[in-house]
Amino acid sequence: MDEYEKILNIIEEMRSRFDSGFSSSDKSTIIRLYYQICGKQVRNTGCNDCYRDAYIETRATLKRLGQMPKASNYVLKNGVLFHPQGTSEFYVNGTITDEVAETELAKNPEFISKFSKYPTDYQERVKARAAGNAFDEEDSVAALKKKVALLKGQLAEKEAQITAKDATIATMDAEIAALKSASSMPTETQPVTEAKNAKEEEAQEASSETDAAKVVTPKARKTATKK
Amino acid sequence: MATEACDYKLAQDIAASCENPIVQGLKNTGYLINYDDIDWDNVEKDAKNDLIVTSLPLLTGTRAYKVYVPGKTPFTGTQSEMTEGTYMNKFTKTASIVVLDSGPDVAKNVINNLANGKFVFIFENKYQGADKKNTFEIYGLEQGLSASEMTNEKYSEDTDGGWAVSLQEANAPSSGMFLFTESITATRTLLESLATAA
Repeated sequence: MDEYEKILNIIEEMRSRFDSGFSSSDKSTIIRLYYQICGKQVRNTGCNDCYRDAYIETRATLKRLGQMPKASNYVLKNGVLFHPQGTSEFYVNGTITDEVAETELAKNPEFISKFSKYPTDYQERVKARAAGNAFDEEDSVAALKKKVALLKGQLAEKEAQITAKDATIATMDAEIAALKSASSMPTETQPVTEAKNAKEEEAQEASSETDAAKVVTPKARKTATKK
Repeated sequence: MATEACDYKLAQDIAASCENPIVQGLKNTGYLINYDDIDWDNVEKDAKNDLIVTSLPLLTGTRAYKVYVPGKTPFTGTQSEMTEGTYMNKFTKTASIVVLDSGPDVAKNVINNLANGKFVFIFENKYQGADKKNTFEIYGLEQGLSASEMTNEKYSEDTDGGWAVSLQEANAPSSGMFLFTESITATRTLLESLATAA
């Protein structure tokens, strides 16, 4: 069982206590999962509805993702809030994505001081991101779109190949059918063939007789002359 | 070194807002940070008003600790007052908290450390101000707060046998420092991030 299924099972198991109230152990689990999956903290730990809200959001997020969220390679220091210019997004702690972190680092290398955790090869990653060859290419939206387009192209190609194969199969089926029908002819046409052959033999014999008659030996010619 | 004369002159009218009257008191949750856990090199302040802290990063592996005090008047005794100095007047800020718990873990992890450490305390004013920038106030950001009084009175009707702790910052140059970044929502998010387990 992978981690996603394991976590989903834990969440589903807690569902029976949603109305009656979560136990203290459930609450600890919700705090942990809420942060792990949604990147958020339970606002008010003295409020039961806050746990219910966090539970619903965690469950919905996990189901929507269909997998455990991938942990970012970059973690902002506690107490740092990052707001990329021109967006309405805010990032704290581990909610920042590799793409956002590396994009900002490309513009402002000193931004690295805001992180408590980052890859040792972050400079190469930033350069690669700027050049459009991000290390985590499979995660970026643009890369995913590219991947989808590529897969669609591959799918179309495969479908065309399948269609061509189908056509070949149909042709071959027709040929097989023709051959089958051809190979089954002798049983029905044998008498006709035999008759034909007999006629041909008779004709040949007749012809050979005629030819023999036509052949006149010198002795015979002499005899005929004397007569 | 250039000689500089500080220019202390009033720069704004003193008034009371009729639309947004001041409200006394604090909310029930505050945040305590070990003074030395702050990444001082990367603390950022508002360009126009250096009494507003816009970024308060902590060192890797550290976090702020929430302080929840129940009741209608939590953190009673929290105050700031001017102290006359020889050359400059300063401010003494006192944060009063109660620890409604006791036992070996509390003694080891909280009380002993409060007695000997240096701290920064962030609390939430009920009065937010028109632009909400008054919401979160910081004590101890300049000199650090240290314990000035700690009492564990077993028959106390106030603490029910818990600890009453006074943390004091003496000789702070600023009368008030505040935490605000972007918006009140963003500031709350930043505060939550402070208390994230490292």
